[in-house]
Amino acid sequence: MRFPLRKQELQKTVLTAWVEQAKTQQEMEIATDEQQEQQMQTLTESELEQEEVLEIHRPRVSNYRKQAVPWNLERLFDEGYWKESTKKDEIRYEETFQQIASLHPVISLEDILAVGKLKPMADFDGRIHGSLNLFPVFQSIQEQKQLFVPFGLCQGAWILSSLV
Amino acid sequence: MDFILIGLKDCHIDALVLLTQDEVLGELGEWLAEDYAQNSYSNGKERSLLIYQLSNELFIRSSGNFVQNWQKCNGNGSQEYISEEPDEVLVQERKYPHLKDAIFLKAFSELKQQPDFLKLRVQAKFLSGRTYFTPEEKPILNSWLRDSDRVSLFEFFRDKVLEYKDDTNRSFTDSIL
Repeated sequence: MRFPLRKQELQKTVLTAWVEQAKTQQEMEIATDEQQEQQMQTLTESELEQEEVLEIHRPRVSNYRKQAVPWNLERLFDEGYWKESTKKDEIRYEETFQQIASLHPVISLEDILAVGKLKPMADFDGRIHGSLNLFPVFQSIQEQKQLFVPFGLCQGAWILSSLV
Repeated sequence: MDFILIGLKDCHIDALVLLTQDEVLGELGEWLAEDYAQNSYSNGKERSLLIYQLSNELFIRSSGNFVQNWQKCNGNGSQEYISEEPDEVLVQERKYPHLKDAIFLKAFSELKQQPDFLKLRVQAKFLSGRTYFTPEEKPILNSWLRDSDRVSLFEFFRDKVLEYKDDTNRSFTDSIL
């Protein structure tokens, strides 16, 4: 383990951060556990009863925030929308919250591997994509004011297991 | 990471997106639930969308146009139920509410058995850090691993996918992987 203490901190804080919805030009509010619980209730009991216990738990209080990349729901069924996925060159560091929120929420696995400087080690199906909200590959300049260093050790690296 | 969004066109999967739980529980999931209930946004569109939960092996959300689009390609199910007219569909749904459920279940079951879906599901499970694979998934997993750079793939799984999943990391050594 490279940095055991740091990693432990990350698991408690950065990796368990609450993802907020985009609110352009407005200060986003810190979400509470109660809000998360309310959202959980939108799935029926039967849908959740067999759900696996998540290994990463959110903290009771989080001072960390991450800009969500919103979906354009009005265009979900339009063919054009699916061809506009975010490309690797569009992932830049030092973005503002507004710039992050303007990205397409979907990125191909191929592009996200490239962003993480990982070579394809398997014949992954080209249709596989990830929601950009899964990948903390960018850092907002606004996030530098936060209590925690955004993405910490993960900054610039590709991780898939975060923010689930 | 437990949920995937599946895009279907002409009954073929053309996109699979790994989603966050927040997206499924929030706007995206709610939008599809509303569309399913009212068949409003997707009506007449060629693309159908589904959300699948890996741990439960269940489709938990479906766009309202899924069954109609599915049956157009597969040509089975109750023809009496199918109608191109939205008003007629509503009438038939009121008349045969249980039939609608049966048709949905049949379509879901057919999709789940498709080799193409199984292949994508195996890779999605791998990327989400799962180490348990069903008997029907194992041959597909083995075939995929055989054709890959296994050392690099092993390192990727151990160092990246499982980086913050200590419990899975412990069970990894006893898994089929």
